[in-house]
Amino acid sequence: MISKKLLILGEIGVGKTSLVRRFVLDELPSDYLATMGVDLYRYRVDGVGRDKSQMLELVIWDTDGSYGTSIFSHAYAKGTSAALIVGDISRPTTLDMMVKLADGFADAMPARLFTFAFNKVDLIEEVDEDVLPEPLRRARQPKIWTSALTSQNVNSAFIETADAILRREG
Amino acid sequence: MPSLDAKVESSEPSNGLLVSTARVMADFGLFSVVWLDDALRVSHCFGPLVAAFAVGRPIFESVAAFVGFEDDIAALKVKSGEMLSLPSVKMHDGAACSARLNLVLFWMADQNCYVLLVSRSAQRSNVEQAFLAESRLRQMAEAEVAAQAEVIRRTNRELAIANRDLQEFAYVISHDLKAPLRGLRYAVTDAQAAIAADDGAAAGAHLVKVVKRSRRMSAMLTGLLDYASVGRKSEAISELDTGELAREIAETAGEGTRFTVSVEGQWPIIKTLAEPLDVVLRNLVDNAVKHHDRDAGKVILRCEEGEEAVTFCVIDDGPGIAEEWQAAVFEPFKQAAPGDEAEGAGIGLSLVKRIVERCGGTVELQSDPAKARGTTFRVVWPKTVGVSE
Repeated sequence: MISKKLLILGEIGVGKTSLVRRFVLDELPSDYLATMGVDLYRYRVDGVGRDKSQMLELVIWDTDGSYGTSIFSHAYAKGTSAALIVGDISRPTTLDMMVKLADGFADAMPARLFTFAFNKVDLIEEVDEDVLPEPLRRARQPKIWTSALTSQNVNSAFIETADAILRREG
Repeated sequence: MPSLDAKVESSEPSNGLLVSTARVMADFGLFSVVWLDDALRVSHCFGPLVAAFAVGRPIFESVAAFVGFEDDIAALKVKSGEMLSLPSVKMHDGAACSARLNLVLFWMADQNCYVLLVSRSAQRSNVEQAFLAESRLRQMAEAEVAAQAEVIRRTNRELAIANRDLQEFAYVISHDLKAPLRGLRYAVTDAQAAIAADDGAAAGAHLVKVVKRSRRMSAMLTGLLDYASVGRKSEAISELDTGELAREIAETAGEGTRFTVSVEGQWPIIKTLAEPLDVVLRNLVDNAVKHHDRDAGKVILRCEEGEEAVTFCVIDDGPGIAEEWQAAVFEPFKQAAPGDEAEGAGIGLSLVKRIVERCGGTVELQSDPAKARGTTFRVVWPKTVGVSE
């Protein structure tokens, strides 16, 4: 089976671990505990790629948000196939960090794909792209509005990324 | 996590290997040592993590952290003395160890194999972890407060600008729009009187004035809206070939007239607010043609690139602007030829000034009609441009 590395990036406290644990284990951490270093998860995704007939093992790297953009000079970032860049839709500063991380990722990993996940969508009344910083509104990468609390779009965020990896890398 | 009495070796290593490995583990406080063959299959494993490594199987099956590093690992063979270090990794994939680990992998050329050293990452006590989590949450909260404070400051600045604009507008509407409105009323009154006197020709002439003045008022209001919208549109920074822009302006400004508009100097490609710069240069050139006192003339667009700014000059050979008018021409609706004869809305130069200043630049004019004909408008446009508040 093909294994590919997926990096989860985002400011501290945006819910990276919650998204990963909701996807992999279908559970939500009961207390906030900041990730120190990196936590690794494996998850097999079926029915993706061309003809929806392939399977892929995602090796998910849930990173420590305090690295910021310095993560791209760290060994952690090497060999990654894609990134899920997460922000907290209720905290504008985390959306600004998404822009910096997207720029850093595009520079460090040219031609690798990344997806934006706007998390904690359960905290807002309605989804409105106008609240996003201009570079995020203009970005061509996929944008997914997620909630680890309600599970909204969590599976889609990972499965669509896995599908895109397979379509690009085979 | 495996118990410490787990098997300490996974295959049948030589005594020499066992002794040297045991020594390394003891000296460096290692958790486990794993030997991998040339094809990255586990050949030997020592230490409490022995159950986590399947002997004879690729290391990627046991340690997901190495997935994606295939090229880097292969490169270790040719980069003598280099190692791949992955600190503080915790695996949640059903691996036999749930501790946070430091992984160091290197190539041992004389043994023709890889060695993976596994040590425990520095363990933090629950109190330390709680303290760190608390600190991070506090940092996040402080960043949020600072961001909110910035939003409030920005909103206050915008409010101050809006108030200033409102006062400016009140002034413009009460003074500058009042005059043409009054003229309009007089023309209508005169037309009524002429109709009452059965003087059709005079009534027609007054109605022509009504049309002219109402058109002018309409142009003034349109100009006022343009003026008001400066800085309120969301403008994007993009790469702009200023030379191409200048040539395009020169071509369209001279069309259908006997004016020649030429482009001189070195025009760079810059990243800037393209639309506002277009409006500025176009207005200056149009202004030079529109307010010329002759049917034919010359306008020159010139550019000089500096370290931090680009200077654009629009030079005409018109009548010039007397010193007493030089400050006033940048105010809305102030024209040297007011009234029905003035062409345009009288907003062009004030619009230029407002845009340039919003973009962090300056605009000035040089003219001395007593000595020579012509006016030069000089716009200093910063290379790093952003709409200032």
